[in-house]
Amino acid sequence: MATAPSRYICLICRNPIPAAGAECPHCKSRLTAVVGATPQLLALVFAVMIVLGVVTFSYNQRFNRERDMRAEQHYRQARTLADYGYYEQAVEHYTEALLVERNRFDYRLGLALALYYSQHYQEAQNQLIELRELDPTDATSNLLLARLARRDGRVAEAISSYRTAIYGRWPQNPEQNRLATRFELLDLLEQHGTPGQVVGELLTIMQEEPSNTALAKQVAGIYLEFDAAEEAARVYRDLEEKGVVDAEILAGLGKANFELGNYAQAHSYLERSLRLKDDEEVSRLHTLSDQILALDPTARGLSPSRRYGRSHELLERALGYVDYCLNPQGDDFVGPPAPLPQALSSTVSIAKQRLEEKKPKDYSDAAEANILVAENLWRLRDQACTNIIREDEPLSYVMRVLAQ
Amino acid sequence: MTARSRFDGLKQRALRLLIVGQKGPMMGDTQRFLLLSIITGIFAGMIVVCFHISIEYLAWNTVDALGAHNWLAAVLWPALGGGVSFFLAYYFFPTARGSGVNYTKAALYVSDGYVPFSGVTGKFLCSTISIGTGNPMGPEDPALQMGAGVASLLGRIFHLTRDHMRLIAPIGAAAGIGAAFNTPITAVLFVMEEVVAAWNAGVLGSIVLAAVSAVVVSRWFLGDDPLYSVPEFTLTDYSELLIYALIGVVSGLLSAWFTSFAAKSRARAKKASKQWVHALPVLAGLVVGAVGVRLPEILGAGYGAIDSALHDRFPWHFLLLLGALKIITTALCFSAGTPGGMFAPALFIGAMIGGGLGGLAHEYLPVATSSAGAYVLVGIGTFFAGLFRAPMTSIFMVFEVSASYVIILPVMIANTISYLISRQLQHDSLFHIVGHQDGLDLPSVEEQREALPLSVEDAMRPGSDRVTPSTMRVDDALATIEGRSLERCLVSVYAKGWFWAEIDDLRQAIAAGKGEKNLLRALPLRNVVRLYPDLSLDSALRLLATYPVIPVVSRANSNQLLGSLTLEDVHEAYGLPVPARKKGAKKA
Repeated sequence: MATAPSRYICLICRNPIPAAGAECPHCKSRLTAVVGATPQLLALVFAVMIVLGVVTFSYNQRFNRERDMRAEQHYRQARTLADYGYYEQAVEHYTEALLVERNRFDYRLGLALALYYSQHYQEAQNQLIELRELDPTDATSNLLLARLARRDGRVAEAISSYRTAIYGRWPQNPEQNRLATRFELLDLLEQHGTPGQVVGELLTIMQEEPSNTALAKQVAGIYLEFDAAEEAARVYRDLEEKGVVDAEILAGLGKANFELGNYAQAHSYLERSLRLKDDEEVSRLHTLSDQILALDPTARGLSPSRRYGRSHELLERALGYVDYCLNPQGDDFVGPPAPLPQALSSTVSIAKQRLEEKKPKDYSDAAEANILVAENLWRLRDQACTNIIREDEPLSYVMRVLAQ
Repeated sequence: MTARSRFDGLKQRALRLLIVGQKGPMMGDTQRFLLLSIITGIFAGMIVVCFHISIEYLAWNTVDALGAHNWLAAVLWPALGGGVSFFLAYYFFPTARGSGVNYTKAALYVSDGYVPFSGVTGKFLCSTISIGTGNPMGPEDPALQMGAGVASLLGRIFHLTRDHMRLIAPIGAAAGIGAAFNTPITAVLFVMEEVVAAWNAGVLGSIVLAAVSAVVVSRWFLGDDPLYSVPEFTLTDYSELLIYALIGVVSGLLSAWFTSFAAKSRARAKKASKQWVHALPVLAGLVVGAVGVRLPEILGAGYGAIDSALHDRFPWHFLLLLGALKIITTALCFSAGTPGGMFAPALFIGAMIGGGLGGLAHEYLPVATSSAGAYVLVGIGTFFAGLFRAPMTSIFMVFEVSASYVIILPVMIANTISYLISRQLQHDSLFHIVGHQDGLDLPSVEEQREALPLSVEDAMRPGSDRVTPSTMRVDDALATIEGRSLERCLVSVYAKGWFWAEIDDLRQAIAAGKGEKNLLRALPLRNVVRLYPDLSLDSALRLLATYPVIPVVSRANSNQLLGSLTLEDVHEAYGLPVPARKKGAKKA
């Protein structure tokens, strides 16, 4: 009976050996190889692999198509729900869509927005952080992150995210969205930033949108809020030069000039504004500028006697201011007055003497002297008015002008 | 030469590169084994992709379609799926029942690498039906068995040697689990930690090749995404580590309890009457369906729910509720014999425990703690570590999924604590108990890892009482040896090393009148090898067959004698009776 050929051969000399690992009778090697994988068998294995590959590929293609379809269906439902304000339900559908198609940026962004608007802020933030990792330049996700950071009081992070959003990629209406985001950032800076940051941001806005009148008015208004009267005046003047003149611009010019100490110009602009449109604040400023102009002894074109008269009134009001502090009445009364410091006491005496003085020989000298004493009184008023604040706005403004 | 003949020549050369034929082998068994590992990985990857797609399809058309609109359908689908899949496994695919890990281990230790291919088709079909209809089981263990089955079939086709055949099943298992998890490192580590205790380069290389090729195939079809989209992990404060430790404690306790409960329930279910055995998967499915009507998150593998939890979609109490319900429903299905794996449920439970406890901590300590999502991520591996006793796998799995270096510290703390507590409370792992219940007494890799084999140091006789200087006279040496009741001695010769001599040699030398000469001149000294104290006793035993007494020297200084070793010492170390000494050994 013929014996079956051995399945094992020597790896070195290729002669048959009785068992795996057995010593080769020819070359004494113990390296074994196995006969068995015929070319046909190997070809069959590869053929099966290819067939399985084709089957898997077509199965996977079909699966992907259906998966995309299902995800899209959920996404559309979610968008419709979100459009109608049903954010909680939209979240469910966005989640379903994402479970099917985890890599879709728009699905995750939709979910983040729905979570944000349904006030699930922490969850929204998690989604947004992932979105930022996927696309750091996406403006919407950065804007939402900025809002969340602002909400949680992380101002620096919010500013950074706002800036990324401003310079990021907007899918729709990039200019409008950028501007709106800048104003959100401005709002944040107004609350938590420095005036320099605000002004810097406004300058950038104006550079980017030089021809937008409404924007310019808005910007100039913010300049005024942040004591940047010079910039505000410049913006308003530009508008005036362009022929855009309305009550708001005139009032703005009036306010800016008022802040800059140009009370005469301010008065003029405010008056023009009031002619076009009545406004309580403008009216108040108009009256105030009127009072300042009437009190200011340094105004140009005054005759010596009128100048003296104004200086007399100025000194009188300054003394009255200090005198009230020394002898407070009503609610401000705190008891018998404390002894006055020497300097203040003597200045008060001088002021009283000057006021009692009859018609002077030289109006100019007398006016100068009155102004000097009034200034001294105003400078020393803090020694008398430690706890008492008495409002005399025209006097304060005039004194500020004199100090300059 | 024509183009045709040139092509034939090339074809022959290509084939000779791959095969071994009578005309001349170009590839050794080892190379062929490595190539086969890659082929196994590709096959396993494609099968797992089809498996994954099939589960998704079924879930869309059952639980998601009818179940979403009709509560009765939602209750009935898991019951129907559980019943049908169990019926198929029971009557048509008995090899699809039980744990895939145990099948792979059985292939390695019992059946010379044989894993029946019917297990592949059976697992594919039964697990698709069971998981696709919402039963709370995972696809990873079936994928592992499918990989092992494919590998075993290929090994048989290619007539691998017995040693390679034994290893091919774990290699296929690594491919299967790698494709299912989409994490090659985890797959390699799991197989090395749970199935194959050996870490030699050949095995590791093959396992890595198989796992990587399977993952490449899987990613090519299904995309690069990990199982979950993981948010950025940050450690808010180092005091958080205490909470992570607490998660480890709770997971460890729960995993020990789960193992005990599931094992007992399974044992009881196996003893039930035939009617009950058939009814149990249906009843378990009904419970699952009833819970799933209100809480669909517990249905199926639950990857979506983990993803949502990672993104803080659920409050902490809801996370704890989900974890508790998943424990119950999974234990019920597992005990009832519903086909499917335990990997995904273990990850789900760990994630929910972690998220629940972390969310609770965040509620009361919002400044010092992260949001629940971070705890979900850390918690994922804790229950897994306790249940499967694979701490390294669990740590690297989270690391691989999160790709975050910061997470390593909390994960290591939580997973190690869970593992230690579970091991303390429950001696055997779930796989081990299930294997026992199925009649397989498979070795525990955990025990193999921790077994401390005896070393030379444990058996050697310390000191130099077996040593005789070469300058000693033969008659004096004989008196000394007899005085010490020895049968042979070691002789140290300056600058020449160590030798040994039998007592009979000394007697013969004296009989030959060489009693007054020294040992070096009188005796035929035989060279002897040296041992180091840290060597295993097994390796020393092989040498003792040739050398009856061997000196044990220091590794730092080979002239420094630490002791000596004989076969009698080894017997004593193993607690065996010392063989009787030769008669007349003491006589001159």
